[in-house]
Amino acid sequence: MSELVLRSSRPTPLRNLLSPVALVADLVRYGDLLKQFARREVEARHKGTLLGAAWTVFNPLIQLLIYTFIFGVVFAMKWGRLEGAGASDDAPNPGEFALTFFAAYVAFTVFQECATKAPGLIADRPNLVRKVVFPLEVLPVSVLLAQLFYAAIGVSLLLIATFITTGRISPTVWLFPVVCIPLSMFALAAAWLLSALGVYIRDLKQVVPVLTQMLFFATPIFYPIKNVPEQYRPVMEANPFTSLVEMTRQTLLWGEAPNWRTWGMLTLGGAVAMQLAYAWFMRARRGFADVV
Amino acid sequence: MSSDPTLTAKPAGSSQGEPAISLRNVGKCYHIYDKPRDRLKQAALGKFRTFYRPFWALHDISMDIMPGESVGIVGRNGSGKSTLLQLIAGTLTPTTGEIRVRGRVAALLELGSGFNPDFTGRENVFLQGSILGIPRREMERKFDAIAAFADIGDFLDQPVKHYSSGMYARLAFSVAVSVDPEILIVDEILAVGDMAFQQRCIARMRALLDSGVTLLLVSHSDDNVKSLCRRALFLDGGRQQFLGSAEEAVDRYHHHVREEANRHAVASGGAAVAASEAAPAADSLTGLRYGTAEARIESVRILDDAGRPVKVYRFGEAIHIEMTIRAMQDVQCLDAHFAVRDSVGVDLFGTGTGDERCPIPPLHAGQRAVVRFKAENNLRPGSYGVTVTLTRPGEGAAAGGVTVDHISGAAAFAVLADASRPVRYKIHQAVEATCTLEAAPTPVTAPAPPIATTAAAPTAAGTLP
Repeated sequence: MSELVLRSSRPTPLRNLLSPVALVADLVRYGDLLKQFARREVEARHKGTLLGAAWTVFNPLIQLLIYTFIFGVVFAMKWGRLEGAGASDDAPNPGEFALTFFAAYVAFTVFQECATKAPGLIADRPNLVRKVVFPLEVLPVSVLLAQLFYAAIGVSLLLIATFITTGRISPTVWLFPVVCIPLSMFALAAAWLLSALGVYIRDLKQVVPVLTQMLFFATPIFYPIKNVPEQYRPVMEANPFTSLVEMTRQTLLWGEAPNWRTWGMLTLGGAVAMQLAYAWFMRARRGFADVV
Repeated sequence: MSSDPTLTAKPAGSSQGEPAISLRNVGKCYHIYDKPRDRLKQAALGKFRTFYRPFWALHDISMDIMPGESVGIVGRNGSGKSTLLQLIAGTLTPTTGEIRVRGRVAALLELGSGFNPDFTGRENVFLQGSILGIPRREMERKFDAIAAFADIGDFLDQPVKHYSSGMYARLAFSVAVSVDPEILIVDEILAVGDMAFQQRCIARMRALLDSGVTLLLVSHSDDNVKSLCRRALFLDGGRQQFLGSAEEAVDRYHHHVREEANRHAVASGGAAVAASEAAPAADSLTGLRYGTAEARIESVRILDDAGRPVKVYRFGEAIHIEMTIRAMQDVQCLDAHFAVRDSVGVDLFGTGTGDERCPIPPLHAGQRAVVRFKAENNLRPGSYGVTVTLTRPGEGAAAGGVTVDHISGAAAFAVLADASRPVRYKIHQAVEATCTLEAAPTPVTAPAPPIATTAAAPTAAGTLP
């Protein structure tokens, strides 16, 4: 039966927007569209390049090599937790630090890219806003999907590199997708919030990269949290990304299961943030066509 | 202002009592900000003060469209037609009121809309499908039919931004009609297609209408609106001026446009006369104007037999065109012409003082002369413009004189339809029609035509003074 669509001068009741069922139904309904846009997001990056899709692998590989050289060889830094990588030896394996860094970096990048792309996501697509009846809420999701695809490639490289340097692979790797759940929720929350805000406040495009850069340094990504002086620890631990990158390392490298209580709290917090950001996006989108 | 109850009651074919589209007091207000900064101020301090100028593109529109109905929207540019369609299609949000839409909507909004310009035609077809919630497999099945109807060849794999407007319209239309819409919204897009494609589109829309699709159409072609739509809405200045039969809405719209044009012409003509003492009537007549200006046409008036300004004529009435000419310096010989032009710009008839052997006497600087032309109205119903020219004959190039003053569209008038005396072609020529019966019947097998019709046009020259 044909469904009834209501367009009213009164905004959709928040009650409806705050329902997780509505959110999921919305995304399921546009599943095809999501796939299509996520694929384009990935393809667009390499379109017209000579190596094409190979860049999706080369890019993180080159990064991994650079970090290995800088951190492992030049600074000879060590983390001291990756077993079999000469962690407890006096002569550290140059790959050990780089791999530990890279695991967290891949996870954080998912969030960072979603957040930095968000302000221009809607604002730079007037065609989709004004000229098509387009479910704009799928755009942030498609960015997240594309980032998860890149993360999957990064993680695969990481696992190969770990196997080469240590001869084994973390037995809890299969738990990493579980860690990705709260991570994706935070990334999506940021993407929905910032993409809608970016339509009204164009300055966000300049501001957000700086903020994510600050968050990057405030998160123990290229230093272990034990290096942080005791009195700053509570501040660090209030940052959800501290736990998220830690869990990423636990599952991808250290063969540990995440702390399920922390995981549960993060997932709950992420779900609430995501739902609020979705409701905000859907409310704000009513005015997009007048502004873009 | 109101709808005819017999027309709002539902056309054949639909069983449900629920309207497909229902509008209640719908309005759309745009906020115009002078400075981007004001937008921020509004967001922060909007509760206390407004920092924008409101612009109401649409005011208080209410109407119900039943399933299977076809409704046209007419009005001038900027009257809110497209805004209304965009509100119904869902790209804009209403400022006031409520819109209920029941059924799958395929919208062909203004040119350049509907497609993502960076995607290829093929990708856009699938994009449209997924926006409408059609599974990809189903779109793949429909794809060949869409490509065949659009008929744009290899361009299907080019980004849409490289399309010509015609190709664009072709693809957009074929997608819209192929996704099994329950409601089809078409905004003017047909105008860019070539004749053959337009015909195909109209045939397709008819077929969709027959199958029970609800159609909402904006078109500047009255014929399209009249032939495809039962009802029509006439908008002016964002307000609902009339909602009723398509015929009547189109007629009212035309009447309105003519009134406006005539008011303009008459007002400027009158103003010229009133202001003539003060200054040469340089700008009092609108339209395209040029000439050497040693004499000026001060006013052009369209009059009835009693000498009162009029806007409309009926068939057979006399058209009076009065030109007031003022010499800006001494001029020896002048020739005044007029031409009547139809709405598509074809000059239908006209003449001049020289041709009619009615010379204008030499004028001193500041002196005025009034030239009057009278012609019988034998024009088809429609709107007409009058172009006037003042020349100095016998000089200049072989072209036949120097143009002293020329004003295109100096005045306008309309001709009303008269059901008892239809005029089917541009101009009615006096024609004599006779019909005689032959006395003796001849066998039916004989090849000779039994009836002879003769026609003659003996008064061809008699229509102009």
